[in-house]
Amino acid sequence: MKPAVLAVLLAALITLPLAESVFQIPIQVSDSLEAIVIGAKYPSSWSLLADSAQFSTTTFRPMRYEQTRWLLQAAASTSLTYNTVFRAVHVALTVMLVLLFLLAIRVRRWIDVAAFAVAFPVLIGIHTFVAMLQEAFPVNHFAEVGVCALAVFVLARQSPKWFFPAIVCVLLAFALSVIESGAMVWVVAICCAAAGMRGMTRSSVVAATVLLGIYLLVRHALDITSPGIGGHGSGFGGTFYSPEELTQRFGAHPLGFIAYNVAGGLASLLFSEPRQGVYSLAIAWKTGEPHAVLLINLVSSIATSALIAWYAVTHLRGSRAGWSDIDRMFVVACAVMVVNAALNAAYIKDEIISVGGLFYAVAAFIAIRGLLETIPQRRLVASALIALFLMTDAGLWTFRAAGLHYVLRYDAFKTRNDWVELLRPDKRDDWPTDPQELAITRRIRDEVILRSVASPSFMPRWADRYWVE
Amino acid sequence: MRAPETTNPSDTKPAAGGVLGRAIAVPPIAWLVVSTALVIAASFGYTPFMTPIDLTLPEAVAARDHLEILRQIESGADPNRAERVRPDLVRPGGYMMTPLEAAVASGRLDTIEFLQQRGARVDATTLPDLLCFAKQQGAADIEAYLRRQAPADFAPRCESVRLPWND
Repeated sequence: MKPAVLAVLLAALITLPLAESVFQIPIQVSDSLEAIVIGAKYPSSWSLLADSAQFSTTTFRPMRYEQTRWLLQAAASTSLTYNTVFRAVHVALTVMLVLLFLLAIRVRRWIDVAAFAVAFPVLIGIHTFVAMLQEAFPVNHFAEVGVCALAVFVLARQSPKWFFPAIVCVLLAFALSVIESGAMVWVVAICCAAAGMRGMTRSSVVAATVLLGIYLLVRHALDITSPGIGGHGSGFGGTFYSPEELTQRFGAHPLGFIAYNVAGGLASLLFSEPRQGVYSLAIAWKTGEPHAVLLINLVSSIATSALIAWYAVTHLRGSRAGWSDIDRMFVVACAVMVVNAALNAAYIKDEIISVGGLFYAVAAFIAIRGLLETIPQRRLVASALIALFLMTDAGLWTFRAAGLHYVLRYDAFKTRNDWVELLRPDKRDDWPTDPQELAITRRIRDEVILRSVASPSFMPRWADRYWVE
Repeated sequence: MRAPETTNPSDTKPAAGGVLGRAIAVPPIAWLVVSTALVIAASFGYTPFMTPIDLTLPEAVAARDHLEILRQIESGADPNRAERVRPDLVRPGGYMMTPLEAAVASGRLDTIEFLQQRGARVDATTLPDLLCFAKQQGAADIEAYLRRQAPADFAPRCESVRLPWND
């Protein structure tokens, strides 16, 4: 069996159950229902596209509603349930993330398979990956941006082709039209070009930059501003603050808080702390009760980040011209993580750094492979210690990745039960007055009621301690 | 912008690692083995990460699964009928309970309200037992909620009330 085939097989065996867990989550009430109702009520795609540009003063996400409308039409034409269609798209995005990761790292030798065996659990075990699976709006935009960003990275690894600029622009345009984090696609393109990756030509960079400029001009023309401090709740130290509290505390002098958020975003990628700006470790230190999940996340992340730091120190000593293709990939992965952290300026959220999480796994793969390659030159004791270190790290990441199933099942239970509050017989005054909205709400609710999900009461009770933060 | 394709000396080295290198693949492979074992076990009816398909209404109550409660009631389940609650859901042992008794046993006031809105009866026949269960459980909020539904001079004799469980 070829190494690449084994890697695909390993990825498939781990991804298929994950896809099942993603598929089990019903359509959400929060974030999803409103977009579905809007997508269904508009008479045409064009009128929806035109109006959606002005739905909000802080966001510009026309494709959010447009793709929702397309999926509703797909459900109507195929006679599938709404839940089936929307969840199938989410599953497809998950599978695409895994496939693109495989394409990005290119497993060709047995040593690559060994490195992949550690890096793949890093990819799906990191806390930012679950953000691409849990939420849906009703299609998870962060997963879409992740797919576009990885696709650009994969393109940059190829020999340049005349049509690459067009593909980069399509991916960037799509990502920007679903969520502001889509700018990460442009960041990836720029980083690839700056690092000298072959497939990212000057014309691709110019085209992508022009497109980003047009996007910013359109936002400006539509008076769409970015949410500043106070636009969203976020943590500081050991406390999570509401938007109002943040405005009160940091609104007048925001620079310190911005620096805290950017540093915190990077720290979150490298050490799994803080989460949403809150350092759980600080809380545990005070209370003297560190949670097992906190320690597992911290130790696995520190070990992997140390490995990434080791690779950077030992392989990037010379100038750019002396770097290998793998070194260039590594530099891009690290640069994307740093820039992604900067997007947390106003508030820290796992979803915002989800692209950085994907590239963290890429950097981990390269660093692990680099370490494994040194084994033949090392003494037996040193080699055994390296293997033990990697085995422990892989074990911790695998445990984190396995917990994803528990977290997703828990989320499916919670999401399904959110529908209880809708169309309550004792609260008819709260029912939608519009007949079309009522019909859609009733249809999705009926679908969700019939959807069987696992109750946490029937899952192992120790799981909360080890998998839920 | 473009740089010449270069190769790291390590790219051309022979595959290394041998047994030690492969050792790191042990944890993910162990995960695969566990997953496969779970899939095989599921085909024999053992599903540790799934809700049993023969879930009774009081069990759905004990599991705090409001939408399942709703589904069963809308499908015709009697919200006042005592049924099996399997072990470890609310008590170590398995017992027969009504949905309201299961809600009291699991200490969920919101589930009691939910059941009442959907036909579960809190009246002269059920109130004394439920009040005494709540008292025995130390569920002050449930006890207060139930007392508000009782006549002012209502004083049940809890010593004569038989609990649905004995562990």
